[in-house]
Amino acid sequence: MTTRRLIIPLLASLPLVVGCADYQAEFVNDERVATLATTSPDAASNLKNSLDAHFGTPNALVAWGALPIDFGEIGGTVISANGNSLRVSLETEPPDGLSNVAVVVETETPQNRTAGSYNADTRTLTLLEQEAAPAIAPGTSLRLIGHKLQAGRRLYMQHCMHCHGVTGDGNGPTARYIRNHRFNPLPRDYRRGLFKFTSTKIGFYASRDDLRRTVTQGLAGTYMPSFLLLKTDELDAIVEFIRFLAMRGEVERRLLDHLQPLMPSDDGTPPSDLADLEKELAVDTFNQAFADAASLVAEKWVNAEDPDNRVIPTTPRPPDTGKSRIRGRSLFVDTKINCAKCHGEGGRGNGAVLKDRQKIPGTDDKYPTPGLRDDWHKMIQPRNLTSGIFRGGRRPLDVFRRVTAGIKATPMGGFETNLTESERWDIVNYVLSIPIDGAFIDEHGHQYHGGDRSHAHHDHDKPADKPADKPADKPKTTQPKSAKDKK
Amino acid sequence: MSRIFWCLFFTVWPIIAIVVCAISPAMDWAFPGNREAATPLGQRIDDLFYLILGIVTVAFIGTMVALAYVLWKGSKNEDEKGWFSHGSHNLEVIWTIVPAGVLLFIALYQIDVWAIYRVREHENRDTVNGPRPSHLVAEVTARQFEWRIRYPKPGTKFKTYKEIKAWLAKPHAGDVYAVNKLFVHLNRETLIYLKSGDVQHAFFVPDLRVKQDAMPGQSIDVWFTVNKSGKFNLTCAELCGWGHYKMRGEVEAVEDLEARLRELKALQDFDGVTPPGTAPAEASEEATP
Ligand code: HEC
Ligand code: HEC
Ligand SMILES: [Cu+2]
Repeated sequence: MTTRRLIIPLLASLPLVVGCADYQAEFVNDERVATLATTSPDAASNLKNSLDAHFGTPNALVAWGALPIDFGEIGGTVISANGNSLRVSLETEPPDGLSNVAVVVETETPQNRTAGSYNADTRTLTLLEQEAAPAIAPGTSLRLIGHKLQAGRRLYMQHCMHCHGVTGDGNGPTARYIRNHRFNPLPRDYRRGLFKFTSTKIGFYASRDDLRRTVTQGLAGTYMPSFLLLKTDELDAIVEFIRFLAMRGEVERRLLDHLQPLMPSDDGTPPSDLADLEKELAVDTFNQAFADAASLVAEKWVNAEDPDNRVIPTTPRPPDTGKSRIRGRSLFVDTKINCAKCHGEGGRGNGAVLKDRQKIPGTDDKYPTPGLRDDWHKMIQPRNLTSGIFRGGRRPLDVFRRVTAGIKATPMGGFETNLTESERWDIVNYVLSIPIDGAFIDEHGHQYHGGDRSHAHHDHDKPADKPADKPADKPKTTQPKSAKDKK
Repeated sequence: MSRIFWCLFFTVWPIIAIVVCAISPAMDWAFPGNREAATPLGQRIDDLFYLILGIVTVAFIGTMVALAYVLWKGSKNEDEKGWFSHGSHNLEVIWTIVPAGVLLFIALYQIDVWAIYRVREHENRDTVNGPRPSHLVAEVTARQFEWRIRYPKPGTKFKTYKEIKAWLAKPHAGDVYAVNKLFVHLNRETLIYLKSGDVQHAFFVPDLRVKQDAMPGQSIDVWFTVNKSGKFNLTCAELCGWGHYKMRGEVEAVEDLEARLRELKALQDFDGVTPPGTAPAEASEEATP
């Protein structure tokens, strides 16, 4: 009786103990890899193995030099060596957790080794056993590579994985709670290299600063929370890890495109000349394709850091006056620019295009239901500009960038070519004024909230808070008399 | 033998409990913030806590000593036979009235602190038309899973609560926005209006002894005066979803709050060309052809 009383609680707590066991996370492959495996198992496993060889697994990441990632590198020299255990002097004291970090030992022919552990007190670096590794003499210099990526992985697993997923596919265990609303954006799937809120020009990827901004400030109004209190080095490490996941995902996608001819047709039949194709694509040209994919992806991420590819206005924001806002408003509803077709006359995100069925990108078909979609085929609502929520930031610079380069991977394209810089600034002044003074501007230059002009605010007849705005280019006295909407 | 064992057994536990309590301050098992609240009201709340702790300690030691004595005496008594008691009316009355008296005392004694903490200011607000010179008003919106903060334009002095209400109702020109980090004035009153963007949360700053639920659809006023400079953890104290633990924020008390807000505002006004903080170029329509 007593034993039973004891054993039951013990059994009940067993799941707790098991749950805390070291979790063997895995990168999951794109679902097309499984499809590929039905016709060409060799090609599929070739792809998987190459990815593993160059990117590793979550618990044994690989720092592949072809990628423009700061993996975290520490130089040092060997003071004394005793087999695999080296007393070393490192240039910078490493953060904790050097296990599994790559070690390049600069012996005559450089050795690639892996660190087993590092003891900071005795400064002893223990390398993992490696067959036929030549002895390491004191004075040899060495480099430890990858501690930053590992720190990024640890932090990512702690803070981000449950939404964005181990692989960065946006499919973490809690992502499904976000899915329950049609317009909630899902956690970003990093694997296509697409990021919405960037400082870069049209067609360019996100810079490290952009990712940092997203992580520290969050994306207001979405489930992406702010991680403001992360320390700088933690933040850097996480950002590097996101870039790593994005690069891994995109290399995989590009290789799948390369292997596309091997895929079964819709009814599951393999291509007729499978054997030849297989030899050509999965054997002869595979390594070249892998290298090409990686260098292409690397180039994109490198370009995103280039200051020349950043949207930076050349003229300062013009004073936020009524006249500027009116110009902005007329562009907003202008038939050529037509922000209103998406955002609506009143800026409420209910423009006319929402009634149309949109074309599915890359095909001639249309989506079955009306409404805008993003590049992940998810329903997306043009922003309600009266809400005062700016996911990508509310600085004039941020909004200027949104108008110039658009919001990537969404239907909102950039207006860099259609609008001059000063026109874009006028739009910025107008857009920033909407949450405060309303979207409609009457014939006197007064802004008001659609429909209730009788309640136009007496205390907002000043254009903005800038002292320079006092010039009375807006009559202060008259209240709009008629109740006619501009619609 | 076994009688003595049980007698000692039941005596040892209260002794351990008291020893643990006695050493806990030295072990730092005490209130956050080096045992001392960073708000004057928080210090009074702590005082109340210590008062109650004192009362409870006396009662605890008293009952435990009596229990140990009775056990000890009983364990030695081999001759007398136990007798069956139907209770004592007098005793029942005594141990009802004494704790009731203690409770009543605590209830009356704490009224003032409670009134200052949650009632008096609020009541005044409806009768007296005009705020006390509150030096900071801010709107704090808890949402899954972060704290979104809005300050009025730096330098704003609200004259009436009506003005504050109007400000809270919608965004205004010059508002300063922040997330997860609330700046407050050192040694002056802070008045925040707590809102929720989605579900129920709770604004909890342990060092300040401030804890208030944020309710969807309501704007709840919370006031406190921080009298120690520094940074204090802000957490959510209402299980609000699976990212509840992520709602870490910070409250920082600074000497010159207005300057800090101006800095934030300057950053927020950055246009990519004019360095933040410099005055905007002289306004003229000619500048923008
Ligand atoms: C509660 C779920 C959640 C958590 C936790 C979370 N995110 Fe997100 N994240 C999102 C959602 C939802 C989006 C998409 C928002 C959108 O599309 O507007 C997003 C988008 C992003 C983006 C894309 C921004 C862009 O410009 O497109 C990045 C980068 C990002 N998250 C990084 C992170 C990092 C790093 C962490 C951990 C420190 C993290 N996220 C934690 C939900 C989450
Ligand atoms: C094809 C439809 C479309 C057009 C045209 C369009 N937008 Fe958008 N806009 C959107 C969508 C969709 C979003 C929401 C993107 C998201 O989910 O983050 C958006 C978001 C925004 C945002 C919010 C940015 C943020 O940081 O949250 C602003 C500001 C904006 N648009 C301004 C404009 C302006 C100004 C124009 C005209 C110059 C314009 N839009 C034209 C569809 C459009
Ligand atoms: Cu919460």
